[in-house]
Amino acid sequence: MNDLTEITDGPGDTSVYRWCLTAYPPKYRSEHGEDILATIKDAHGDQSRASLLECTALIVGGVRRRAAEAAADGPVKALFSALRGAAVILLLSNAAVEITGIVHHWTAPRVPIPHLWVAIYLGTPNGEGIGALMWAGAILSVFAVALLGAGFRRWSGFALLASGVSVAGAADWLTRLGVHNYTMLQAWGGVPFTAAFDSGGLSFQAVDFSLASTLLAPAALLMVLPASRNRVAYRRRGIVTACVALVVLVLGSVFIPWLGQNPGLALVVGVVAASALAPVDGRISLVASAVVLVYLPLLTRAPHSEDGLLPMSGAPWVPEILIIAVILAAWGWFWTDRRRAHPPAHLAN
Amino acid sequence: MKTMREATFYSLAALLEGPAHGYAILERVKKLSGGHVSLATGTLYAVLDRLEDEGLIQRTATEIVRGRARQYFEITEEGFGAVQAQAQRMALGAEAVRRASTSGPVRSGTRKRSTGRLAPETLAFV
Repeated sequence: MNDLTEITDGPGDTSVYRWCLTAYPPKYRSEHGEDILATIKDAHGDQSRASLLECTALIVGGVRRRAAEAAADGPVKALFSALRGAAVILLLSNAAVEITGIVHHWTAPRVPIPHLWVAIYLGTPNGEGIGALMWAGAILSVFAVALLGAGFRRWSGFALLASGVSVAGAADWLTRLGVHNYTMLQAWGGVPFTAAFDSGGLSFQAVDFSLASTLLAPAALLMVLPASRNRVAYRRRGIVTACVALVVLVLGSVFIPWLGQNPGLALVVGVVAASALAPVDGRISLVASAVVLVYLPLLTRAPHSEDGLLPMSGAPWVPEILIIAVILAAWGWFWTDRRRAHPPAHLAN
Repeated sequence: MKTMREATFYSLAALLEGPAHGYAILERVKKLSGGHVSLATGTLYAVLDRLEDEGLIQRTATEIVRGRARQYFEITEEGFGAVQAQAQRMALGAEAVRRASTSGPVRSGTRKRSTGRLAPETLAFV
């Protein structure tokens, strides 16, 4: 039997490449992952730094492989795969938004942000942040095209592209007609994907990419977190994902008024739920912690709202939330570590 | 017959020398192309996967090389035919370019105005 540990040890550390390999489907990874790593190792010798070109090629190759396999398994799986990929993109996009907001908040006006970037993400001062919706539509569409157009039916990709552009176009049109307003956008500053429609006194989120990313991002995080041997049994994954969505939805209610007016209670429920689910899968708490931290800047920047949409706002909450996030992360890490040391029977193969 | 991309062509051509593992294919591709084509590992495996899906190559036994398990790839009969056909097309193209180049220098003043139609030689490659 060969000693495969040689591949992971030594000066030519392959941990970065190993992480990039997570872009490939699990089955493919288990069958060919070591061979790919061995080839990289041969090609680059004992380089201590990972090659950006190799990493990019691995990630692109992995996404293409996923697309090909999803396409082979039919349109439903292809769509699911596309949605999951879109979730990752939204997650990254949202993170970029937050980072931009934080930098802008802390450094302005000392460090100017390029005007185009501000226009795309934060909107112009008079609330014409159309670029955000266009951007979100474009991201989804491009990714759908990349996934579905790779090996499935090409028209599916173009159909999704058309629908993405249509959504963005419709949002643009509605904005120009003055049908929706940017009340929340202006209040939150850093949440550009929210458009609140006001119809007969009933306010609801009609085009809400923030909600989408709030729900999808944790699910995506859960799937991409490299926590080997810590995955719940396949039959329970749906339940776990639903629970995470619920937890984050509750957490998200801090920012989504129609989901609850008492964010303090929502936060407590969310934290309790995330903590309770940690023994099932430690990553849930880690993800919840990350989500809390990602949304923390919003709380610090949100002004007190006159209409009660943002009852929880201002800096006094920051230390408490930071502590909660740290506790959640530690709790999640504890269970992840514990399950690594003592994997349950169905994972101890 | 589908036209192959450069990376696909050289990867397939590399296996004409016999079965090889990933790194050996990378080296052969570099050598065959005179250093012109240098593939990243992820790109190579994407190409190999596609070729395997199309039945042009197949995975053979896994062998231990320097303590590492390596999968070997070999070309199939279909793959042999495909790479030969592509090489022939490329040779025809090269010959056409050579003929056109040696038929006489084209001076800027004597260049004929385009009629909007393609020459018969060009049509052969469309």
